[in-house]
Amino acid sequence: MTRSTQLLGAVSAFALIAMSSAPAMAEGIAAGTVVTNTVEVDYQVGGVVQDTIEATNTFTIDRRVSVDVEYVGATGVDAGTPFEVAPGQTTAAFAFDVTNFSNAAIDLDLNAALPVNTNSRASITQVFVDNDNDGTFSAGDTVDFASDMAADETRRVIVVVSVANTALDAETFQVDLNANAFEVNTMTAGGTGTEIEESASDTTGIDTALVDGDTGFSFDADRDGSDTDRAFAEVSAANVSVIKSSVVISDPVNNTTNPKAIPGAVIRYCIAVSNSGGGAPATNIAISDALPGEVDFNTGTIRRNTDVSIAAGVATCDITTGTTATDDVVDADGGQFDSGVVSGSLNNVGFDESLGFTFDVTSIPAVDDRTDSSTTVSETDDNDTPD
Amino acid sequence: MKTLNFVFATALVAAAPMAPVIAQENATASSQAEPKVSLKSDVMAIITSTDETGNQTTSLEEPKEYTPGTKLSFGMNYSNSGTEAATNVTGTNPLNAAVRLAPDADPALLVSVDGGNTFGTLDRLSVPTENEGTRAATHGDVTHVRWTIASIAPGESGRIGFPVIIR
Repeated sequence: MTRSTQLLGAVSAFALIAMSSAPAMAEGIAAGTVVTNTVEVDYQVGGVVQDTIEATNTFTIDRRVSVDVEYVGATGVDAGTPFEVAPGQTTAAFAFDVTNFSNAAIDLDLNAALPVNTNSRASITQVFVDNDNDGTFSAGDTVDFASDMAADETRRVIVVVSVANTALDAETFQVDLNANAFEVNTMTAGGTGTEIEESASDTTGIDTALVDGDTGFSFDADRDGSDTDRAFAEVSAANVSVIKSSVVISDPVNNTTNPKAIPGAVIRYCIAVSNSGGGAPATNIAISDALPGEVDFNTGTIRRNTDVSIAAGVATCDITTGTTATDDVVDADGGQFDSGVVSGSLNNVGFDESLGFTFDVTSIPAVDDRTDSSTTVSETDDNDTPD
Repeated sequence: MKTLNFVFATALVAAAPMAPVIAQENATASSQAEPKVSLKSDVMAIITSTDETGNQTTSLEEPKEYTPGTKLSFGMNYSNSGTEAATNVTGTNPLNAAVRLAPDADPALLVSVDGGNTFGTLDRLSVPTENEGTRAATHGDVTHVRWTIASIAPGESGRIGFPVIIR
């Protein structure tokens, strides 16, 4: 007769707790370890103790290759909060942790991709292993590969992405980082190495099994010795709009009571800059207003950063707020009048905010000939969305 | 990798001091009752599969890989080709440090957590802690496994095994 006994417990739940009691050999016993199992069997015949029998069995621990990639957030290499990038940001840094969960040392080939890239605004400029953990590429950091990763070792990898300054608010892109297992110390800078592959057959030596899972991301498959994780990014741009309005403050006949735009009337311009973008402030705002020949600039009337009320498309600057600026070209007060042009700057305009720039002029000729002045507003850092 | 089996004392000789007859492999003429217990240890992979109805079944298969986390069955194939029953058959199996006893091992299994000095069921054993106290022993603490077969009848063969997991 033949019988087979597997000494299994009927209830396994109670024992699951015991799993955690294993000694700290996190990702397992090293490949190549020879394991010998020896059994000594004693028995009796007719009540008489017989010689002990011994039987052994030997196997070699195979190599289990597993790689893990985890997105850990955008690092503060450039200004901006995680996930949010600004147009023109050339060093948006996406940080990933790559871990060798194999039971042997390996090299890792690192590849980044942009599986989603609205209007191709983003481009990958560099993938490096941040060996000194300073968040930026520096001497000693390796590009595109990690060498001699010990079992259980984790390294920080940074994917540097450049965002076009034409990127629009709310445009999105995704950054994938893939780490693929290569034979240890076979990869060289700019070169290639030997990719680790699953052993084709079962041998008495060290075989290799690729045991990582499929994360569903690009260039990742089940049990391929590589892993991918994905970062999601969104462009957060200022969306700047400008309204210029004018109101007659007084005229020589009516003074300030129901003044008319007759020659000699004082007209107040209000230039309102608003930001309705995705959260990024509009910065470095420069205003330039070339006055028409029919008006004279009223010295000392420039006010910057005033509160603004906008109603029915008409902006009104509150001249009790903000600060005055002299007309002097050379000072640094952010406003001046020179050669028929009023110019100046505004503070940063945050999301859903407006700031005003106001000045007064006096009408010289016949009212019928008066024309509007021409205003331009610019941001020198391109941190906005063209209107 | 493949396993290598080394089997000692396959042709069992009745214990010399107590048995007056020296058994021989082909001593067919002898009418002396003699047990011939042979052993062959093996390592099998424990494969759990689930059928369409959700029932789980486990089977033992030739291992394809020996990687950390792989669940194996350390087994002993025995047979008694003699003419008398072998009784009180006890196997003592030191666990290699590369493996730990699997959590679904039979709770009635006699184990040791102190290098084979004392044996008992796991729930009755404890191990010292760093601060000179003790805690309940767990599967990972097991250093030896001991199994018993009351009797192997003449002509009987079988396999006895217990589950382990590669650390």
